[in-house]
Amino acid sequence: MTTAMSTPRPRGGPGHPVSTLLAALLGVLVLTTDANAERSLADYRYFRSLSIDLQGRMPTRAEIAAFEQDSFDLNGWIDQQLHTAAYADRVRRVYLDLLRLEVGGSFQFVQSETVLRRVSVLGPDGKPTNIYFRLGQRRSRPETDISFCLTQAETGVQFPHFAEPTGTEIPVSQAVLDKYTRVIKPWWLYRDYASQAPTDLYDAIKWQQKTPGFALAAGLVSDDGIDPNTQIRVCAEETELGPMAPITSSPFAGTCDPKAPPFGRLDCPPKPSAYETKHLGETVDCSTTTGTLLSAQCGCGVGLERCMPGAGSKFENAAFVLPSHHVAGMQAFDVTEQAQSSWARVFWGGEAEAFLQDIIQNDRDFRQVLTGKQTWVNGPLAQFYKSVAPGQCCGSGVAYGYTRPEPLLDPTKLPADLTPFDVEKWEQVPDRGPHAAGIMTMPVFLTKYGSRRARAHVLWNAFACKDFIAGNVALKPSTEPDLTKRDGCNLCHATLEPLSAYFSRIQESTWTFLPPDKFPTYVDKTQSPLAALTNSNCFYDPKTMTTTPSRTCTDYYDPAFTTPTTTTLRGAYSSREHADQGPPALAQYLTSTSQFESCVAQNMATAMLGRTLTADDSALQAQLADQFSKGEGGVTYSMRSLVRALVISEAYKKANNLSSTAWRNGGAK
Amino acid sequence: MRAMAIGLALIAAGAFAIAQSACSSVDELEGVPVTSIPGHGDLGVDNTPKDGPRMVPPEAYIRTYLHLFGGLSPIAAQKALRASDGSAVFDTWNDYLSSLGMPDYRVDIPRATQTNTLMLATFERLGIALCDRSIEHDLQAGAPIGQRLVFDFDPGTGSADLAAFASRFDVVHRTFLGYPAALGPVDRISDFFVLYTKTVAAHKATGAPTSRFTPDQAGWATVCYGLVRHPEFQFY
Repeated sequence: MTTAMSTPRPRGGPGHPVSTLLAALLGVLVLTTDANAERSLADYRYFRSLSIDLQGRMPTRAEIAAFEQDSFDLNGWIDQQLHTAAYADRVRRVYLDLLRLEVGGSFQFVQSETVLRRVSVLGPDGKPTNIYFRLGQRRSRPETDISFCLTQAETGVQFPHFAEPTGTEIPVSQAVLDKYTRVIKPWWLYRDYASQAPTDLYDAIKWQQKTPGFALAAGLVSDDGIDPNTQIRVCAEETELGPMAPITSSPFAGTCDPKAPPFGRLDCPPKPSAYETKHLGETVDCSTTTGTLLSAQCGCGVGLERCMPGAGSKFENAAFVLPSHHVAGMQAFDVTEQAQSSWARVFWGGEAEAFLQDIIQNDRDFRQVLTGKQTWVNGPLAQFYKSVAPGQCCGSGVAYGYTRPEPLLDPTKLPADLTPFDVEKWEQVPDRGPHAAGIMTMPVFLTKYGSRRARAHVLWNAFACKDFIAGNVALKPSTEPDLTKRDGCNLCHATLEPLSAYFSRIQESTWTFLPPDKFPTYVDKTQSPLAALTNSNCFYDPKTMTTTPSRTCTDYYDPAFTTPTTTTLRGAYSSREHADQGPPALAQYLTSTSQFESCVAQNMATAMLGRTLTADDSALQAQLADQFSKGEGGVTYSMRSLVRALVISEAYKKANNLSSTAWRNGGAK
Repeated sequence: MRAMAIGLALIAAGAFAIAQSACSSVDELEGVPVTSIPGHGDLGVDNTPKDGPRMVPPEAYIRTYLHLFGGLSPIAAQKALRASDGSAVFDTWNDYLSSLGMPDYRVDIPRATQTNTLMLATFERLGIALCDRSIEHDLQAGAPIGQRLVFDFDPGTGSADLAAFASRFDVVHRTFLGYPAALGPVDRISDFFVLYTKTVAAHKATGAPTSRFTPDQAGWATVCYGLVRHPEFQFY
């Protein structure tokens, strides 16, 4: 193919070039190779294909006119396109199609510890007043501990979870309101919420200029007409500011009949746990579940910045205005009011998109998709990583001394200038921390593929181009828990289990990392006893065990691989080595074989040719893989180099011109 | 093996075979390699695997559509497409995204790579909306030539002849299909000319239903419908 294309064909002429006529006769197209010849139909179609694949749209009339000029440098034009966002979006779409990195509503991301709901009570003046609160908040009164901060006696109503209050309301006295609630200016209403006297009040129209993309649901702004929209009333404990606070004792020590809870509550107040009794007064991280549950002095921070709002008392409540269907690389098709969980999910997906876009458009070593330590965040994501993500920690992990999460993204690495309102401002985090590994340690991947096996499977599929298909085997009943050995199962699981073991240290459906010093891969109580396991009776014979083992054991250690003296971290039984190495080692493994470049070549050629590759394409695939790994300009594993080689290949130029007649005659396949 | 030999070599070989068959029986023919025929030694053989055209990705379709509509954002374009007709001409993008073949990663719906009847109906609905609004913008509102979205020419009045039609048709043809109309199938221009003239005549006929378009505008709208729904527009 020459770079200087032929002169334009006169418009409206009655004849056709010989080459086009022959092509029509044969049902195929012949590409012009003479620099002085006219453009053929094949030339135009090739240019149109290039435009669709590299510009993301069909060519305009002006672009076609430019293409028709003698001086048009097609190779130069291709090179130019290979640096654009549109090209990067095209390539990114190939991998997004493979990985489907968007989390839907079926994954309910509603952390009690970071979600504010609100209920309406009668104020002292007899008018309804909204009060925000979070479930699971440690309070100083047994009447309200881990629940709403006012009692039935004070309000006349009871407060069922995720529903409106029930009963006959009575006005709350001003003294009670003042004692148990506070009036504040929250982060979502004030851009300068961290200042002493915030003044930059939310205005839907003005803020679209300042911080485009940030819009609140109407209920959060108008408060349904109940309260002024300049400030909110919130339970007092939630307004505590400190990042750390001491564990406070549970206010309830009596007995409770769940059928008749005391104090007009609808559930029993929690009793002191062994952990809090033992560690009373010790400081805890207020951004964790542990802090919320155990300290009445752990709140939502300055301007409630560690909590996400919701305009109601339901499980999920409207909070932000967002596109209902996000399409990567395209502007919004609509905007609707959605809950705070959508706010998080949309930007999780955005992180992976920005990460891929950066690698592709800047032609970074493509292996970074799996190995890269860097990432990209916007304002809401920075807020998520700082304040919301730690809320997944630590649950029963406190028994192992795990009270502060060891994050997959170190919050100290986040850009300091991002605010929660910077929806469209994305900044790079050069190094997330030692546990980071490309897309594999991003929330979108870890929640989309909740189980260790699902994570390994999709990576095996997308980056090794292999699948797990057992073939025609008869499965026999078996009690063998080791799937790498069980007849039939082992055909796939002999490979899958060691791969999934790399994810043993990231809990399923979340991003909580389990550090090896607190969660050893393998515990032999005769050699290296672990108090948390020993104290919870976590060593037993699963075949003879008649009682249900404690969650302290089973949340982390696998009952199927437990003996009276040993136990194994969940997911690690097939390869303890992989479990300790984690996702970074999986990234090294997947990208270290020639399978990787061959698979990238296959994925790209399949997508851009619009068909499955066959044995006849093996030479093309090998050539593309070679070009990809050799790279260009000092960059190995260069996607730009691969795509260039692909779009100038004969396969790309000629592979999709089989006529419908040839199809009908069986010429296609 | 789906490879198909192409090029002059085959034509020549076919002609050679036909010539031979005129003077001898098929049984007596002896095959020779194409390259042994004088002048054919360096002819290439296209042995690339073949397949039919692939679908334009829905993202590219929508970007092209929005570009043809003046480069508006999807929300702004939706507002303009609905105009005062509400959903009579255009519903909402969300009604069309999945039927256009767009994947939905949230629920693991993959990208559609083959057409279906609902998709074709969507192409039709979107195409008609684009053509009708473009007629209103370009021809009824009289946007200056050079700033018209689709019909970037003077439509003229009265009965157009084939030559006058062809030059205007070429503009629309390039807009949608990306190449000069003259390079299309032999009958393309004349077929569309017949379509245009029949539509104009139908709109001029006594007792014809009332239309928001003049007969000429209706003729061009119909030409536009034909191109925006053409398989060559949806595939590449």
